[in-house]
Amino acid sequence: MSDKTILEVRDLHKRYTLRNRRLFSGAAETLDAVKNVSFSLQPGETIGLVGESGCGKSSLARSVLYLDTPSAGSTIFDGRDMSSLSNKERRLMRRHIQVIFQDPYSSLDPRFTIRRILQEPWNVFPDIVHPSKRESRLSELLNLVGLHASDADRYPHQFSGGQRQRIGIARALALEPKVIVCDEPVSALDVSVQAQVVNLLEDLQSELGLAYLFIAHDLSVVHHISDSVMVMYLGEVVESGPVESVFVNPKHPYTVALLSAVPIPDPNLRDREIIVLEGEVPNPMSPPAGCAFHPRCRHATQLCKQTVPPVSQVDGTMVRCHFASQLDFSTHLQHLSLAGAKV
Amino acid sequence: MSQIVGNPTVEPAEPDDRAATTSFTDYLRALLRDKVTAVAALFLLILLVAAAGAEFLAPHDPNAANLRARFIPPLGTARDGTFYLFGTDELGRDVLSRLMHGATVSMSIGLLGAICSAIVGVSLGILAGFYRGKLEIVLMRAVDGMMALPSLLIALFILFVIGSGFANLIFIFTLLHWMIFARMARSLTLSYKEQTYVTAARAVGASDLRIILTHILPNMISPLLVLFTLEIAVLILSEASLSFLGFGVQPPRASWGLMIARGREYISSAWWLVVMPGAAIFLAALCLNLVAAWARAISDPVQRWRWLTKPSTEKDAT
Amino acid sequence: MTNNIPPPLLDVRNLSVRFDTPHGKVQAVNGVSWSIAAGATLGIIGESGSGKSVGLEAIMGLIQSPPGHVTGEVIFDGQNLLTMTQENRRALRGEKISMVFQDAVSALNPSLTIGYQISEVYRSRKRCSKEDASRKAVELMDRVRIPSAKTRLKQYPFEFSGGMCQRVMIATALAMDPQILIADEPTTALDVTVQRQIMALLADLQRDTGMALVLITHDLGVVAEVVEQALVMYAGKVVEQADVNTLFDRPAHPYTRSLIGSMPRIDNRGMRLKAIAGSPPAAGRTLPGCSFHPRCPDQFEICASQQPELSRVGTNHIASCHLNVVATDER
Repeated sequence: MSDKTILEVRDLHKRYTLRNRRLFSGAAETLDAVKNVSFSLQPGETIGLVGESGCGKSSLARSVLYLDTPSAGSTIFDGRDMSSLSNKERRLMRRHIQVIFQDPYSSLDPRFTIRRILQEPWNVFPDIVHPSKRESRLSELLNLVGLHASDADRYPHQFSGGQRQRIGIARALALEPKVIVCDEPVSALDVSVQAQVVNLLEDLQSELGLAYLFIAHDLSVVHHISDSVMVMYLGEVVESGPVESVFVNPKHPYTVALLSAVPIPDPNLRDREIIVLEGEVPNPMSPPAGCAFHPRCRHATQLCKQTVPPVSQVDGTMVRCHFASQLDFSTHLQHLSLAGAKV
Repeated sequence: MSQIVGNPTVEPAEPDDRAATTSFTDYLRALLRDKVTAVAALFLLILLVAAAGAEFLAPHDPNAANLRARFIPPLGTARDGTFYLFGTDELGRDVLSRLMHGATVSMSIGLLGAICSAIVGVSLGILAGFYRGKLEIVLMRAVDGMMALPSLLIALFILFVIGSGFANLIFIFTLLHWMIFARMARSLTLSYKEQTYVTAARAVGASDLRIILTHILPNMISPLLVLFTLEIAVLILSEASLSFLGFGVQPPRASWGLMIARGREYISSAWWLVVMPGAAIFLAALCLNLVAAWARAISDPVQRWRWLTKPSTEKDAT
Repeated sequence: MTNNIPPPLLDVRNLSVRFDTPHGKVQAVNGVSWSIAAGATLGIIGESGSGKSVGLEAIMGLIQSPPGHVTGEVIFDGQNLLTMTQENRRALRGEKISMVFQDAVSALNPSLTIGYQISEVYRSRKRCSKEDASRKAVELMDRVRIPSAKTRLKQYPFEFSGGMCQRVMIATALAMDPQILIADEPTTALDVTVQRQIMALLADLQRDTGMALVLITHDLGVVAEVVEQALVMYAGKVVEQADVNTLFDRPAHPYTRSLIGSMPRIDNRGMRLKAIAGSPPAAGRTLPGCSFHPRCPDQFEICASQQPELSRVGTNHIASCHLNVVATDER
């Protein structure tokens, strides 16, 4: 861990215990939503987190933000272990890790004016901005995200989805955080507006030195904005590393299938060899034995069915697979390395 | 902090004249569109004025007996020339004045009882819905249990023990009516709690109290108000029943229920002694129900367009 | 744009949809024309406010007549769908022309079994026994590759995942062997691997049955990989139409160009995204000139005052932009 690391997460584990549906059956059912996730985030860096439904990325986000208390593992922010803090101290730490939500429509209280929405963080932490300076700071924030100072008196329903998302970003910036967890920030926006918000996030990052944990299901966006990426499946990170390594040269069969599945807006690449991953994500409450991906993996062997794969480091990426360095996916991924030359 | 985007690149918000919450004048205009509810609201207003100003507005002293003017029918005149709009009762007391003073009793008990029940019920309901766990289980079982009890019998029993009177009535009503507010407040809290803007407030570090007071409670006011209006009607009826049975307000204080009880013996000869207070109870409850129904419809954004002058448009229709 | 000698299977001519609201008239669709031949695949690209879904509802006769007004012609099998009686249109819907919607989970009735819902169309049209209907349902579920079809007949929608529900929708749509399948954002709500499964399924089904497919989406990647002919809608109008290769290689309308340029790509990390300023207009907002001009990087004086017409810019390629007219003049 370098001294610059702003957020370090080690072996994070989140388990949900569901209430007994049958009165006398005995043990309660548990769901391991997040298992053994570790990463470290530097200022100015973006870690992307991708995965499909049921992979646990939302649970991970909530645990990192301490909106849900992690079951095990440690979250170390700026050198301080969050689990060792009292509730009060943890609440004070909140100003440093903020969040941008997916849904621009329900993330703003419809009864609040924009002014009230942006001032709420300052009411909670009155020391950050002196009351006399709040109005000017409000205008600054609105301008920072590309809105007008006059918008402060309006209500959320008077804005478009993209504009509301900008307001959400302004709110996240109000406390001058060091880390922002972006939970699917552009998924609910029109395609033509997504690029605006992505550009805004990048600009803010380079200007303010923010670190992002960028969660999205749209791999193209993650590819564009992230420096490194983690791929999650059934609560575990199956592959992680620098984004160019993972996206151009993936090692885990799931990552390959994921990348292969993304439709490419270029008709010339239409006839490439595409992997169609069969089956569905298993029920997280009863994950498969051994490697969680083995039922859907075309390279699975007896070993995969019985033994949980160890973590290995291959070419600078971390992979959870028994055959990490041995599988060759080049036929499916030619298009990914091809286009790199187009730039 | 320098500005990344020097001039805002995004156009300002639409100069939409609609506020997020409709103003009082909008509601007033909407009310006037619905003739039936408007009349009901007017009646309630008159009732309120009569109740509040009974002391000054009543033509006669409600307790002044005048044995020479007994049993005068409505619109009748006594031998000494006094006009009685609703007639007089067995002691020669002016029915109208008694009705007005009775209104004071009914409205104040109805209102105060509903307010107290609401305060207790909503607080408990919010706590149950917000914190869940054992608190919720205990509270909701208490609600279920108490709602299963026959409220009238319980009321009679307790009043028998502690004695009747204004304050005791309020106490009984609070005891027997907080549950319905608690249930509604709990279920509303459960749904509001899951809204993303509540999660956003938590992420910003807002305390539970702040979240409840600024995000959850204000959104609840509208549906709770509807329930509140209905409960006033229920309490007015309950008070009338209790007074009729002799356990509510005591004579010489006038109460509609009491007037019916006394007037019962003369029902064949002086029908107005029962019909006037009965009609007052009936109309008060009916008008409260009508206004509550209208309030429920208008607070539903989907139905609201039928009454408001500036209905919401489908901004994002494709 | 007919480009084949046989008449198109479905021919939409000058379709317009207007809604009368207390706030004024909302023109959701404004003179849209397109056609599709038998067995072909057409993609309709549009964002919110483009009128793509309203146009579809108009074709299927799902617009309530006041406050909506539908004009134009929709010719199928020699008949104008818009002037048909409700009875005839209902007969056509589900039999010759079928639809699949975006949110499959909520399109299914949660209190009816899957088997019942799939066979519903079959039972009501063909009037067959319950056993026949069940058998047909199993057959359909097999076609859309739902495993263990027989046991799943008795299950309820909540037991199915999003991808499975979408397959059920497709199965229902295929029950009567329609000639055209219209899919409105069928994969938008799904995970990317599931999306790939559904795309492969639709391609196979099309090959097997020879049905035409109209795919409405905002995802340019899906368009590039699935369709042969594509048209782009903006603010209720068609702004460009071409075969898919031409559309991506030589887009003639600034909106199409900007859309393609603003997308992040999985195969190319690229530089900063070229975002389009502003937002798509709210449905029905009409501007005096070109609807796109406030956001257009190439706009000039005439764009604010005069509406551009659809003009030919190449073989099987039309676009409505003043720039194209200027260019052709200069040739």
